[in-house]
Amino acid sequence: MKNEKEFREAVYEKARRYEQKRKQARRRIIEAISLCSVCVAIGVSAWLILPHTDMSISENYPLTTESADNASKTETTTSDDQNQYSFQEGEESPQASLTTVTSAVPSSSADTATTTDATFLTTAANTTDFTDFTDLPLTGSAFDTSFLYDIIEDPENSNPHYMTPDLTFTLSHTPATRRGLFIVKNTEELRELMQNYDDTLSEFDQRELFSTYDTDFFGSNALVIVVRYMRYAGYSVYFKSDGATAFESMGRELPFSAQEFHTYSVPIAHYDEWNVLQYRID
Amino acid sequence: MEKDLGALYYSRFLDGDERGFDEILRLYHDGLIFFINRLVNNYATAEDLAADTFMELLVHKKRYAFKSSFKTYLFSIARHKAIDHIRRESRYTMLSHDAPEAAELADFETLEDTVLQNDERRRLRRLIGTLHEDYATYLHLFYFEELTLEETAKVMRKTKKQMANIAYRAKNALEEAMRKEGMSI
Repeated sequence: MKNEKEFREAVYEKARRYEQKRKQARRRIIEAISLCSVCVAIGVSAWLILPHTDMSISENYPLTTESADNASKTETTTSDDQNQYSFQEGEESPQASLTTVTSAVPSSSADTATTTDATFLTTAANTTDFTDFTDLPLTGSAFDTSFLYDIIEDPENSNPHYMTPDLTFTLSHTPATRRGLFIVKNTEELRELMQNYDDTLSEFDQRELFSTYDTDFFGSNALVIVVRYMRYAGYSVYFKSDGATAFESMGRELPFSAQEFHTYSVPIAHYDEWNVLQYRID
Repeated sequence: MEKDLGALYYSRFLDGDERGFDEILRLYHDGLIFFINRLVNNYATAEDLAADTFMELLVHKKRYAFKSSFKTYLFSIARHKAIDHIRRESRYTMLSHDAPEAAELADFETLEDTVLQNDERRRLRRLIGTLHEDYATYLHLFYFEELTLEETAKVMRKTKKQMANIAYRAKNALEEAMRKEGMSI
């Protein structure tokens, strides 16, 4: 049994040890918090400093003439099957717009075919400026098909890959609903266009489309959308820069029941350097 | 009154007068150890736990709000410490008729003399030790520490109603035990 003084000292000693433990515990907590803060700061700094992955589906890479020979041929129907393009029956208006576009070679899909033609490549490009239809409403009758027909040079050319200095614009007569080539420059235009495909493009695919091609994307790109009817053979869109490279690009295919959407990202920085030379949809 | 003194001394201590704490030690040392010993049945442990109890007054100065009696506050800490100790040691001790361990017998008897002061109270303590834990705790606090029903409820963390029930049954049980011992009620 402790006497009064010993007991008092024991109490104060316990209190001193308790305070020491509490300080140590507090110090450990502060150290842990500081470490966490440092880690968070490093993580945030790294995230800010490091370049972010480009989420755009499309990649822009023009084929050079050197790589042209490596391109595979596109699968197309013969020109005999080609007729003057006639837009679908009914009230739907042609919604294709052709304009100068920049190089756009997105990631290829399974049936992508790129091709170049030596003849073509050596041909001096006769660039033709087209009216930029994208400023016009995508619906309605703003599109002037006669303009395109005027520039069709040789629709009976058997070589589907033959490039002329002028625009070759042929479309299969095979009826297809709402097919065509569209160029959109912002999300509103995209939504307007997609409204015409509400019954064929699933909600999921539409969401995917809108999330991929958002405001950020349109800040530096335009989007070319080729809509074709699934069952038909391939299509081709040729882009050629002024005196340089030609390529065909195919976009990402969105699976749905009746139609295929192929999208191409076109950097608007080079918008004026490119022309659509051939637009054929089967 | 004693409980007023405890609060008074503690108030002085909080104002910086260390003698206030010394007075608290003097006032409650024996009774606290005695109370704890009844729970843990080991004098050395009871003394250590009492020191832990007083230590709480030093390190957690803001916890006592001067709303209840100081004694109530102190004994509730002590009971909590004792129960924690019992749980840690994985044993629940009922105060029995057995005497403390031989090595501590002298210390305990000294303490007992101090707290109980007479034979009658010693016998009472032994009888209380034979009863149910809650009854014994209540009776100890009531008879030896002179806490009210409300104060014992706070120490034992019971509601007033629960405490009233315990008090009623405890007194009945004690009367029965005293009758058996031939003690006058």
